[in-house]
Amino acid sequence: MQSISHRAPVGTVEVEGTDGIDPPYLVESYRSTVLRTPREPLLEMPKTIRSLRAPVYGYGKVKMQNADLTSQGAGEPLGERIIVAGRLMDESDKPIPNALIEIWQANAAGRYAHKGDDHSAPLDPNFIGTGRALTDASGNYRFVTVKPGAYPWRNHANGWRPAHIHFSLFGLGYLSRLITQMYFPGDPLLPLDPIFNSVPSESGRHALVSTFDLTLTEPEWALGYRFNIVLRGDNATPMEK
Amino acid sequence: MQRTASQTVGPFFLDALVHDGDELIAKTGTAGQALVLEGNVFDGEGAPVNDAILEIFQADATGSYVADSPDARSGSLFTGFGRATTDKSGRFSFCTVYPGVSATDIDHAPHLNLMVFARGLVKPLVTRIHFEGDVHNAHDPILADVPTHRRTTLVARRDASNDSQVWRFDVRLQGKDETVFFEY
Repeated sequence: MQSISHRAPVGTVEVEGTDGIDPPYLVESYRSTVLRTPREPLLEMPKTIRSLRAPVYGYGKVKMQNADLTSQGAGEPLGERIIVAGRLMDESDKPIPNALIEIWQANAAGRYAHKGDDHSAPLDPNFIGTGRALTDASGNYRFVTVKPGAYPWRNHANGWRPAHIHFSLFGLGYLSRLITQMYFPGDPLLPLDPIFNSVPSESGRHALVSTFDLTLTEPEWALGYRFNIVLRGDNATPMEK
Repeated sequence: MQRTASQTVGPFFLDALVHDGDELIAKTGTAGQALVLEGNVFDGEGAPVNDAILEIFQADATGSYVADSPDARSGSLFTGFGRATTDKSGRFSFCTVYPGVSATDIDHAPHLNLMVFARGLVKPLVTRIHFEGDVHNAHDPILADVPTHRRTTLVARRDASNDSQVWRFDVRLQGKDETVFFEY
């Protein structure tokens, strides 16, 4: 048995002031939030900001091959090749076509190709770990990559991030902007992770975990994981249900 | 359907989110008065936040937000959107044009919309940047809603001289002179 001191200090997250989906800014168990959370009251989001359309950004730069993270080097990266696909929708179940999705992740060993990452796991010369794609007319997207490894972080004693892929998205309205993380089913690190558990509601956390999908899986080539994403609706009012 | 929850951008987004020229919101030849926005991001102890990414979204010099179109998507038009990261000292900068007053929001003073993402921010911080000395500030409803002693945190100041194109806007996430943010 692990001693309790090796467990992540995951506590109950304050749900007050949120709709149970987005985390509150202050998550005591995620140390970096402590000095970066505003302490003054936040002002009600002005209607002029709520009614803004999303910016047009990056589309001209997206190429088909940007969605294949296994083709960025001279050879194939090491690790378990996977397909990550899903549908981008808004809260009213409308698919969002032609939307920019940007992703980034650690390599199969749990190391980012980023100078700030000092984990001793090896870099993979064939893996950069960044990708871009546009959703199709039905809001669908698809990436090919390798399954990222878990990696240690210094948030707490013996802290490890569960395997995850970062997603950045634009929807229809300015406030539909979302940056999130996709996790993998059955990861034993999930219950211990302060970032995953910053989401107050069980259903909100559950929705961040991709599902293994045999229909996305390509025989003798790659396992498929489905991750559907729902963005705040057009002109939706934050803090209202 | 239930929204997907926000999660922190973390510290390792650099190559994925930021590309050369993203901080150049207005390229040479864009109509309007050139504007360089510079500032630093600080945490609750006044330490530089060296791993933030800032996104600006703004109207053009005539006060219009650029509509989605094939030309806007190709990158050949001013779209009013830019990204910049902070360096070791927490410093960022954008090059753009001074935004106009919108025909549909005539009471609002010229401003830039700002979202801040960083490690330790589980969701973005949203605010807007006004310009010191702009005659429209006096009747801007957002500035009017902000408690008087905090109003200056939403106002960029001209660097050095009055004909400088360089404006300074610091983002203080917490503590003394904390920037006013809106509920996301």
